[in-house]
Amino acid sequence: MNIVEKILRRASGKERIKPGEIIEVTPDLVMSHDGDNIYNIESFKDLFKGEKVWDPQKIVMGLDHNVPSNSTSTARVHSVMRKFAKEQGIIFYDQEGVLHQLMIENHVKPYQLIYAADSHACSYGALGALGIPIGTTDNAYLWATGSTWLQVPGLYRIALTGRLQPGVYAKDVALKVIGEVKCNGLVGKVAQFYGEAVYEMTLSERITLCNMAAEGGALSAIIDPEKPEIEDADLIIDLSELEPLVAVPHQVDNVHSLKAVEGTVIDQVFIGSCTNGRFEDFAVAAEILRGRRISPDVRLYISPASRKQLNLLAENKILNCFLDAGAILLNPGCSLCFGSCQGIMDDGEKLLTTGNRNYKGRVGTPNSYIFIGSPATAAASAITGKITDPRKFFMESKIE
Amino acid sequence: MKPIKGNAWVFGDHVNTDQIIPTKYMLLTSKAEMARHTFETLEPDFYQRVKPGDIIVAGVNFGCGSAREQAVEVLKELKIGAVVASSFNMTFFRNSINLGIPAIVCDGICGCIKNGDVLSIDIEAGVIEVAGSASSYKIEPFSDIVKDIIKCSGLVNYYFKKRKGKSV
Repeated sequence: MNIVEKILRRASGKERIKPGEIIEVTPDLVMSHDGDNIYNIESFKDLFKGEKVWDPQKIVMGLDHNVPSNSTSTARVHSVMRKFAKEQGIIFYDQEGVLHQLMIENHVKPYQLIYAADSHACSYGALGALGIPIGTTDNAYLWATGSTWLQVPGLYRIALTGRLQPGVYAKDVALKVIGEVKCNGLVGKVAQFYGEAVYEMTLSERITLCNMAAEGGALSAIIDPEKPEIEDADLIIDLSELEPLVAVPHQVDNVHSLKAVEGTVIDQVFIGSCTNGRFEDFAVAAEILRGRRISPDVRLYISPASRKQLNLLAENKILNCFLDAGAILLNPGCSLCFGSCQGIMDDGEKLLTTGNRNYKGRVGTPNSYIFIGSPATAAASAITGKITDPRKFFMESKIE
Repeated sequence: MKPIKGNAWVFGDHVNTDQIIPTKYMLLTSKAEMARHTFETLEPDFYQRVKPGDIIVAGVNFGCGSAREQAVEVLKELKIGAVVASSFNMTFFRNSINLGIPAIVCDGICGCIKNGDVLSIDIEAGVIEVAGSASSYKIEPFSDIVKDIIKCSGLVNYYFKKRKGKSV
């Protein structure tokens, strides 16, 4: 039995689970945020005629997509959410960070089934939990009933071998995967990552890896805590062969070697998001930024993914490094990755982001451009004002 | 189920949820206001020209990207009759069924029709016909539960029917 079957067996109470079979499941947790929560609440109350949610201590809600509230519409959403959470006794995070990060820090456990009203629920696979994305109506139905139907997904097995070379990171691996499978290569499947190279990764690296599976259309992603050896791989990637990569506008699977776009002038750099907003990510970027200033023609925005990550940056004097370099510190939240209310671009402007999407017009006008890269690539590029291979800074350090 | 008839709007591959409804409109508290911006980066006058009952036809991976159900809400607001695609993002598919807009997998139709062609979708018979053409296209069959939710015009009605112990 593979890990997905184990998890679904537990969630459904069924002895045997077959791929393709329709089963009824009871999740361990249901998460939603201010991206669509006003509709979830309306749907629950007005359409499903719900009064009390199924189990308030299994429901997590929070504000992360538009924080602080940037308009009267958003303010209305936030006040409705606060009131509902309080009435129901739901676990509520009021601008404490990106909900996926908070879920991983405070709630997710291995072998859990978690539904989230957000496509990056696959991030929970880093802890061996199955995170599945849903929309408003499914969310309201879960609040009302505590269970839902699921067609048992198949696996897409991705084996990682070898060892990452200096200057190459989990984000580059994730980009390589999406470049190979394309943006619909994982549709309806759970991407399972396995192999020694995976099992040696830190939690933060695993989150980056699992998180990006959404960009291949994956239903979810997972790393089995029992570290199995599996024989049949759908995709094998040798990490030793990888170089820094960049997803070029306007699709995430438009992945190229950084060399192909090296020298592209950029206007903004963002380090943050559920993909790359953790202490480790900032520590890597700080090594490159230390003692240097960013280009006067670039705005570097940083948004640690949670209050805990921000505290770690401050305690370890990493935050100073960014501020001294000229970075602009933003509050923990989805920020420039989501593109609703911070760092919006004008025509012709270019953003290098550590987030997960580069759709046309996502962070500005339809005539702005988003490139996706690792935190190291982001830091190097912020210094030069052009897309830059982070390894150039490693060579310089060695010479000094 | 009665056949669904309507005029086609043809889109390409990998139409993402940001393109269906851009982020900046997602938190408008009025769905009617939000619907004015449907597909605006792809078809700037879509809102002005779309008619109730129109059918969206697309290539592979329709509705990829975020899980935002607003992408279906705006289609519902505009009274879109169905969405037909070579393939769907699974969350979009589920959202669409849940809100009562049949999401129909039909490989091959997208490249063969144009904007304005009149389609007739017969879910029971499993086929789409194009007015004025001898061609018909097979629909991928639904699983039983999806068919039940479609018959109920969405998850809310399905929920209440189940609660009352009624058969769908």
